[in-house]
Amino acid sequence: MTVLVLVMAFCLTSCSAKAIAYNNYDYFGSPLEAIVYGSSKNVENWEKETITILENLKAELDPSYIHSDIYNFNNAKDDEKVEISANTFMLINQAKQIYDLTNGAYNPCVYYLVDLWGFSNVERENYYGRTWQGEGKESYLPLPSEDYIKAFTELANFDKVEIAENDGKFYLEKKNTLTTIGDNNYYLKVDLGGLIKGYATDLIFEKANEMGINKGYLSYGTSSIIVATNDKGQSFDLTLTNPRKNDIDTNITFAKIPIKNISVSTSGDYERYYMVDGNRYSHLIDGSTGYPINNNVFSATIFCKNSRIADMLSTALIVMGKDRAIEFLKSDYCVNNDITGLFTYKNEDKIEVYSTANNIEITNSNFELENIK
Amino acid sequence: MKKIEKVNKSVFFKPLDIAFYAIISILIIVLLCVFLIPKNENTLEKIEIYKGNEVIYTYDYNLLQGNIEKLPSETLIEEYDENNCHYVKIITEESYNLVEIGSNYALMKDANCSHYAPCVNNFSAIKKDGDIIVCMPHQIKIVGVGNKQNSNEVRI
Amino acid sequence: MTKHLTTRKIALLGIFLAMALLMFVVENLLPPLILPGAKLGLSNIFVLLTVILLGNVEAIILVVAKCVLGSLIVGNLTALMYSLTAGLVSVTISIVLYKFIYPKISLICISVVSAVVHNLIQTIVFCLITNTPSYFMFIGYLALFGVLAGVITGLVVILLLKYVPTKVYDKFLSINKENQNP
Repeated sequence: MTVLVLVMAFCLTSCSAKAIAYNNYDYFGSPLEAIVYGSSKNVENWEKETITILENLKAELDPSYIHSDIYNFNNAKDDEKVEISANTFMLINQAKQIYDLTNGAYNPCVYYLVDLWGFSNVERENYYGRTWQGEGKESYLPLPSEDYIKAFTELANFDKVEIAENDGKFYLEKKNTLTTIGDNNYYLKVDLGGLIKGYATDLIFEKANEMGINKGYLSYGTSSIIVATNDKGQSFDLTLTNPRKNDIDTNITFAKIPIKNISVSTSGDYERYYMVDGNRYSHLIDGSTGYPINNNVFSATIFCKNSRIADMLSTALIVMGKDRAIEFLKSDYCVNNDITGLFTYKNEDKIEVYSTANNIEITNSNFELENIK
Repeated sequence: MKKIEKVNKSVFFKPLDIAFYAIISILIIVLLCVFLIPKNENTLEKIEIYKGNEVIYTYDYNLLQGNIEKLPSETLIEEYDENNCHYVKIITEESYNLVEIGSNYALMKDANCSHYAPCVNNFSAIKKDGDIIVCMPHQIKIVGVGNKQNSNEVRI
Repeated sequence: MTKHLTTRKIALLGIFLAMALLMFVVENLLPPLILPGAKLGLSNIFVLLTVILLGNVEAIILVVAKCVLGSLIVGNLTALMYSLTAGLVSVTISIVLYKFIYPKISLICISVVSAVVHNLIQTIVFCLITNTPSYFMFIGYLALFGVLAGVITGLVVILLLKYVPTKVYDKFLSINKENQNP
């Protein structure tokens, strides 16, 4: 009997080659994970290509990589023309396009606001005169002063970035961004964050398809994934994290949706935050007010063929707030580009889920579906 | 003397033995089947702890034992048991992570990675195959390994 | 039948306890054979000998003393809970089998049954107390191991009884002479 079991096990494991690639922390501050199905040779080659892709992206777009385009741009002053690559040009244009489309809800120029509220990637002791208080789960940063918030909100203006093309070369230039506060000069900086990871995901996934690997999924960081199909060629069961999983109940998810051949991105105020006097301050900053979002929208998810658009739009959706978000999801832009989404909204003691996504199933009794298709 | 005489005549086998041995044999066969029935819940078989890309520690739920694998330089691991849980402390000069391994879950109990330690506060406990908890600043990842029966789920 | 606990009987009990403890501690310090918790249980040789030569109460005392002292020496007090429970149940079984069914069954049979029962109880209690249901799947192998252990300990007991001259036992158990004079 035992022999039979062993033989069967051997058969099953050698039939489909399964690879889990990368726990790489070196690129853009998030782990890249992939579960793909293909022959081990293809997967190995693909892994190598992935590193090449990531290295190239790092050289161009990593803000902390010395002399990458973004590094150069961020360290430039007003009226300094910074030359950038065609790739960067394409991405910045796309970011601008979404900035305009969402009326600033997606705003890559909130760099200093994010830093002011304590959410930048590099931890340090002193944040514009304030230090972290408390410990562990209770720790928080005391609120910043109004003048800093105002100053950095003024800085968060994408219109002040000039994007130019000249003779086959591409340039970025800051115009009138200088802001002085507290004896320091600040010039506009961009934080393309999710956009870069989304781009990396798109490229890596495309490469997989080129190399004959077309089953599986990829996730870059915990809030954005791109899926093909599972090993049997069918949909995955996507489950969505309950944005209040600690407060309300122990049910970790609230909905289930079958997905295939699509990108998904989620933004939520539960990812990075701290509490001050019972109010939540999360890393999602509204560039028009200078404050973290406070509109009872807890999380937003976008489904789209393109990872970087999904990333930008999921952030935008949560900043928009309920009414604008509903309008946006029903807008021509989303309908024409096959973009669907959903967001969770607190209404008194239950959480409503406004969704244009297909086949969504609510799996948590604290949540109620409001279909807005 | 009676007693001693009695025992002196001890033999290695008596016919009635067969009755007892038969019962025991049936019992053993039944119990062995318990072992061979494939588990159909999502149970954890082991917990792996990675630093960067390398596995530095594994805990096997079947043997209830932890194993320290090859450690990168300047990384120390300390283990201890408390309250029916197994704790694994991962220490380098600047970083500190404490992993709690319970009977059917694992989680990051404490870490000094940042003030709002997402690895401690924002990840749910590892309960089945594929669940992970990541402490990115310290490059520590805890992975649950188990029987992969319901691996069609992707969570975001 | 009156039990008369002579100093000689106590001395023999002491020797058996010491031997049982020695076996227990040594087995605990050796690495586990294949599975954690699979031990030959050589200390049970002396438990069975006590049942046969010294009496039921003495055997129970031996088991309790062996478990408590053994756990203290080895330094694992939680082990005390499951090894004591298993030890008590298995010695009770040995006593019942020896008193009521022996000599219709061989000593090896008694030893095997009590070893199997010991392993079963120990596994069950261990899984309950430490809340590790995954360990339960080894119960079949542990029972099988119990058969092997039971055969070995039973054999040793029989050999000790057959080939150690009766004079040696007689010295300690000379109470028998007194019993024959009402």
